[in-house]
Parts: sequence; C-alpha cells; structure tokens
Amino acid sequence: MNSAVVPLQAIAFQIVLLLTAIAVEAFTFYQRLDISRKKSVEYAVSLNLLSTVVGWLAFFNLQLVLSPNLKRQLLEVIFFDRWDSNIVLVILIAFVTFFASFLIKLQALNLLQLLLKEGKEEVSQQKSRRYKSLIRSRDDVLEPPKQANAILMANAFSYSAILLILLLRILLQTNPTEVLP
Amino acid sequence: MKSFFTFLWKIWFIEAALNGLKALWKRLQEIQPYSWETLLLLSLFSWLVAWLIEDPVLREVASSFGWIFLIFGVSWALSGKKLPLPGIQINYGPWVTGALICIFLFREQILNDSFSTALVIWPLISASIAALRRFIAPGPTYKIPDPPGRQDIVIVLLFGILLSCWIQFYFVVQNWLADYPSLLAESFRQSNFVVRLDSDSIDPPQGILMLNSAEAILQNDLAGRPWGAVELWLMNLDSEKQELESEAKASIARFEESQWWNLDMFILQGQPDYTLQLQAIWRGPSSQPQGYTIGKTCALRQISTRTVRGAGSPSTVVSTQVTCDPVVLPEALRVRN
Repeated sequence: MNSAVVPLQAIAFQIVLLLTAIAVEAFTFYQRLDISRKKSVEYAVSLNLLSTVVGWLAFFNLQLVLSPNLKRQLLEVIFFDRWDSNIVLVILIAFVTFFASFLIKLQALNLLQLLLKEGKEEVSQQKSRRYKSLIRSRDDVLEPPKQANAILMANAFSYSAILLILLLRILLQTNPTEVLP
Repeated sequence: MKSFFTFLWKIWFIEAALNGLKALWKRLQEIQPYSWETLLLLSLFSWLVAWLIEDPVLREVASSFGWIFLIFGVSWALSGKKLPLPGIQINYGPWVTGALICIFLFREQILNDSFSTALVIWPLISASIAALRRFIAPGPTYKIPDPPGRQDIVIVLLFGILLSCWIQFYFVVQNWLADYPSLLAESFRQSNFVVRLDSDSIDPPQGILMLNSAEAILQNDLAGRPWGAVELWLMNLDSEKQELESEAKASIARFEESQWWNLDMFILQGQPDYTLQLQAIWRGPSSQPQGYTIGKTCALRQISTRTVRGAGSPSTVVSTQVTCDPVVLPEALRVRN
C-alpha cells in the first residue's frame, strides 16, 4: 500500500542542516588543523555524510524494536509534530547523538587519512611520526590530541548551529498556526 | 489516377526502406569489434535467440545475457557523458546503468520480488558504478585511484548511501501508514517530516469499521429477541461490553494500530426505552493530545408482534428492534484543511 505521503520536508531539512554542519565544520577544520581549504571541505563533507548515514541506519533498526508507547510518540512527532510528551527523551537522544557522532567522526577521520595516504613516502612519514610520538608521548597524555579536539569543537559548533536553526524554525512557525482558533 | 499515386508512394516507401537498411548495414559494418555498439548488438542478438528458444531455462539464460550485454553496452556508451546543464556537471551514465541493473535484478527475482528494495539500492549501485570507473585505467587495465580520486569515491559512495536512506525512509513511512491506517484520518499539515500530496482526501479512521462491526453484532444478538432477554443482557452490560469489544476488534485486528482502539458502551440517560451509546476511542498517535472518540447511538425499542401459535389463542410477544444512527466523527476529524 503506497500512498501519496512523501517525506519531502524531512529530506529538505536534512539538506539544509547538512549544508550548515558542513560549512561550520569545514571552517573549524581549516582553522584548527593545518590543511587546505579544499581538504577541510572534503573532510567535513565525508564525516558528516558518514555520521548522517550511520544515524539513518540506527534509526531504521531502532524503529523496528520500539515499544508500542515509544512508537506512538515517534509517529506523533513525525506525522503531527507533537513533541509535548517526550521533551526529556528528546534531550537525552540529542546528547547520545552528539557523542555518538563525535566518536564516529573521530574514527572516520583517522580512517579517511589512512585511506588518502600516498603510497611509499607516507610509510616513512608514519614511521617518523611514530618515532616522534614516542618522544612526545608524555605531552600527548597531558594535552588532548589536536585532531580529536578539532572534531569535538567542530561537532559542538555544528550542533549549536543546527539547534539555532531549529529554534528559529519553532519561533517563526508557532505564530501563524497557533493564532487560529 | 489514385492507384498511380499509391504506386509511386509504394515505390518511394520501398526505396526509403532500402536506403535505411543500406545505411544501417553500412553503419553496422563501421562498428569496431571493440566498442559499445558491439555489446548492444550482442544484447539484441541474445534477445533474438531468447525469443527463438523454446526451453524456458535456456531462454532465461539467453535473456540474462541480453541484459548483461545491455548493461555493459549502455554503461560504456554513456561513460563520461555529462548533463548539458550550465554550471553543474553530473555524470548521468551511472544512474542509467544503475537503473538497468536494478531492473535486471528485480526481473530476475534476485530481490525477493520486492520493488522497494530495487528502488532503495538504485543510488547505492549507481554510486558504486561511479566509484568503480575510477579503478579503470586506459588500456583498459585497472589502477588504484590516487588520493584525490579516493576522496571522491568516499564522498560519492556516502552520498549514494544517503540517497538510498531517503528512499528507504519513504518506504518506512509507507509501512507505518500500513500498520496505522487511522493516521490518514488526520491532517499532516503540522508535520515537519512528511507532506501529503493528495491533501484533499482524508481517509476514515479504522474506528468506524469497529463501530459498524459492533452494530452488526448487536443487531445479530438483540434484534428480534424477546424484550425480557434484552433487559437481562443490559443488566450485564459491563461483561457484554468486553465481549463486544473483543468481537468488534476482530474486524481491525490485522492492523498493528488495533491495540490503540478501545470500545466503550453505556446507556444514555433521558432517552425512551434504552439508547446505547457506542464509542470507539483512539489512544494512538494523533494530533489531539488525548486522542479522539467516534460515537454511534443505537436505540433499542420494544415492538409488539402478534403471533399465532398452533391452535391456541393469539398471543402478543414483545420483541426488540435495534436502530442505529450513522457514525458521528469528532470535530478534529471533520475539519478538512
């Protein structure tokens, strides 16, 4: 049974939020990691696409195993934009999503850099880096690695930007519809 | 005179057809053995063979070869072709090839006859084809793409998966609506996720089915029964209600949403004889904080019928008549946006 109910707004919102997150994170990467503008955008695109896709897959699997009550709340959110009964849950999910996406992006950036390495010269570089890291290991323990820090900041900034957009949307939306009797 | 013209027309037609065949033959002769045209010809040839073969298995094999040649031929022909749009560069070749592969997989029943799976994996397959093209070096041999190429592959693949996720979400929404058809009774105008394209048609909620089924059960159980039996039935209204609910719910039990429907029944005060108020109560996902209630009233009336039994004197039997009003929808469902 296929009806004419299409998740167009969900896709449109996702595009807007993704573009925002990519812009914010690319800027943060450019500032905090020593990489070119092009590379920072490519990193931001890859990491955000990956975390979005992982999010979708988690969502598809979770919605299958929801309890009846949670499923009712999910359907109310999606079809009728009713968030009233589950604000605490939403905040909890937002926190979990934030840290999950941070971990995913952190791993993904390591993987991506491994994948994008040049053939031979990189190996020697890696060796010297490992050697360096042996020397500096004590410093590394004390200060968090630059990369993880950059990703944490980027993630925080992009989530803040998204939150701002969502708040703006709520502020702009409530007036015209709620005034009607 | 007329026949002369038809004669001329025929000659011209034959001539044109011959010229066309000649041109085609010339074109066919020009085809390089190592080109996409060869593959398309092989595909046509396979289908011709499949058409001629009687044996179903061999026929299937030949037609599969036809598809495979077609897929390779088309992907070769369209490789590097870009949409003639200013500013945007989109290789549409992988999309066409991916669509062909999905149709092929669907037709060969590799996907369990699931059209949705074919649609969902389309972007995924197209992205994979686009990625694979970077492994082909002129020659043709294969090569490992350089780092910028690898970066492109990562983005293209992830983007393909994201598109697949969006299509999958459409089908998830369809599944929800199939499990909860009463959602369609309300407007989705408030939604920030889905939009209803046929916004004028608001479907009736399943509670109507349940009420109608309850009415049919009441008619069956009470209509024509002696009035005394009905009064006895009314005394046990609470236990009768539960039985009626479970029986009426059977009409919608195939839907997951039936767990959120409840049936209530009570006697309306201040009415002649007995007037039963039936209510289908929806506590499932709704735009209304407390859900909504659909009502139906059924009047139980005494009617006297004279019956003549055997040789005895005519006696008056008071039996019951059940008349129900149409379903009354709540305000929330009557408002059509």
